Amino acid sequence: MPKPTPPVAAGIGRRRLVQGIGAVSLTSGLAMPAIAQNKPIRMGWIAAVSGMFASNAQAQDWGFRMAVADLNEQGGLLGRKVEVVMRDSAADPSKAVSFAKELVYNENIDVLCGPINSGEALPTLGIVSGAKKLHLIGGSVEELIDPVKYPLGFRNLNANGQWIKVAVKFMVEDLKRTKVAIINDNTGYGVLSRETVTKFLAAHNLKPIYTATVDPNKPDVTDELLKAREAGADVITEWSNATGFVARLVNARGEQNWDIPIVGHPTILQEQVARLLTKRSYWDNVYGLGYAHEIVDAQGKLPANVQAFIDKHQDSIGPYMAAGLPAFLQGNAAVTIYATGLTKAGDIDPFKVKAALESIPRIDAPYGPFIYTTTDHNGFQDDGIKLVNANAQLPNGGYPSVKIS
Amino acid sequence: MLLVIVSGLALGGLYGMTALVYNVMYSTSKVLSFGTGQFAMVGGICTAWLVLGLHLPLWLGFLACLASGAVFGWLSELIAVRRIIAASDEHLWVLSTLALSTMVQEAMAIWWGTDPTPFPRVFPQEFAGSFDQKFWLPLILAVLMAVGLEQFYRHSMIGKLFIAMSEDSFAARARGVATDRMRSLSYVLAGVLGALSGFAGGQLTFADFALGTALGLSGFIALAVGGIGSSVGALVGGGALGMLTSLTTHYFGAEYQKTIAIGLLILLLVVRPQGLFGTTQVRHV
Repeated sequence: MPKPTPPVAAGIGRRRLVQGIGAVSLTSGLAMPAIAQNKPIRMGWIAAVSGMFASNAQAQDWGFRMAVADLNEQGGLLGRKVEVVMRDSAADPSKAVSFAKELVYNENIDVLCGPINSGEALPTLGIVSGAKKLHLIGGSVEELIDPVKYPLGFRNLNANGQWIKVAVKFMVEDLKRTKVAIINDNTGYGVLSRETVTKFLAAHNLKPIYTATVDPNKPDVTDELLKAREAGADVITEWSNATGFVARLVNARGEQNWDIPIVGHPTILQEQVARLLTKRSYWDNVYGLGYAHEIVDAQGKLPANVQAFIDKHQDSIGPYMAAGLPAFLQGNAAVTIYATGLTKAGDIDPFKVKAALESIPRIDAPYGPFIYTTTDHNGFQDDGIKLVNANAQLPNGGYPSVKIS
Repeated sequence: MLLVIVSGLALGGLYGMTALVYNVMYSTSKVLSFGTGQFAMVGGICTAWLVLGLHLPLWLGFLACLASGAVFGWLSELIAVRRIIAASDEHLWVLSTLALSTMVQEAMAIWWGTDPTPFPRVFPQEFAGSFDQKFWLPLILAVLMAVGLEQFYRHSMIGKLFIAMSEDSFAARARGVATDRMRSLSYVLAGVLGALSGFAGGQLTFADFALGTALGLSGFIALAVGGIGSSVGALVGGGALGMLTSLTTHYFGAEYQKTIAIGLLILLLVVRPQGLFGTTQVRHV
């Protein structure tokens, strides 16, 4: 019995089949680049929007997403829509590592932004670098940036050393203080900061008159303050991001009626610290590290590009203003820097974007100015950092320039 | 110098109260609960929430603080101690109390947040230097707590039953003491006293989810130095730790405060393992 021939193949001869396959191949071959060119640009984004640093990270996340929304509204990048692939690391370095692997290998992202604190960012460097993805790093520790080891890594905020350099310059040159007491917490960050302060003081031919490394959970720091006072300190610089510890320090100084300035880490500017103060006036002679983007003009207005971003997203900014302008502008900076580099490169290839970032004379993000070179991927400029008076914040989130009498 | 001493004594009062709370639970269960410091944390946060968050009167906040401690203490015994010590003679309560303590701390971090928040002033008083309430409240309440507990153990029936259980739980049960109920009651009392310590020290520590772990550790050192089971020892151990911490900072610098303070206390334990006021238990064979 003859085997039945399949009806579809019945009318197709070998020649037509070969022609058909050729046509399909040709069509597919032509279509492939078109599909790739329309494929969205995928920005990986790791931020600890839950856990220890949640309030700051949520504001950064908002700034990041609004900046991406603005790009898409203007037609995207290189004519392609921009997509955000976000993961919440919950301030856990092991989660940050897992998510970094997932994003660079499984999600096939084009760039990774974050994690946004140093402890989480450090263990992800090798992973992102190994996958040859562009990496915008949101931590301030010096070791995060090394153009030789991690050529595709760029920092999108200032380095910790810049903060300390500016703070020491402010104490010595603006406040004209020379008897510096350093009080830091006993975390790795606190101890490292104390060493850096000592180094920058040495550049001014000064030595700290008193140093104290304190457990941030110690319920009372009166004894440390008394000791600094006995040593003859005329300024205190504190290095901790524990709000309770910083507030105890400011309280102890105020309660001793010892009105010498305290200069320190941006945590000292947080409203959470002010709420813990016995008297709000204890915050008067306190200076924290802020940014040029927070400084208002004589009419009390913020820089134009900062105000424009706020105005544009007025409807949804409400919950994020409390974290301060630097938080959401840092989220914005990651997107702005990548967008500027990609537009200049005209190509998604990470090494072409890297070359573009290194060749752009200056990127003016609302967060501040960034200048990258082949040998320096830190980018943020010292003049973008300004000391501000803690008790002088205006309703728009800005600060007037510090006037030293 | 007066401020250094007062500040040290205030810290000592806080540590001493935590040591007393350890003692109350230990008397009926022979358990040194890892959740001891969390009673103060829960009590402090409860007061801050009600008084500063919901604007309720301070006395109501105070009562709710004690009630929160009582409930937490009762649940601690029910969840982390009762079945564990009934099922095994091994020290598995280390794991169960640690697990409960961690869960409570994380739950408070999620609900309350990780930033410390203010604690209300108990008396309307401007800051008064060495005479400020934030230093004197923990100190005075620690002394009152120690005296009160001694009176309770010596003169009340329940206190005597606690003592009986601490000496021989099996014998107490054989003589008709409802040991399970007494143990549960001791945990309720411990919870109340722990929450009271959180209230007394709240102006120093703020309402902070991370308080419990640090306080639990310092309270344990105070207990070991003073001698387990002794109210006077708990008070003296706490005072010694607080003063050593403060004076070390004053004379040697803050970098050495923990090393020197705890080092001296370890030295004391080497010389006198049962602590200053503890007694050596003699086991008849």
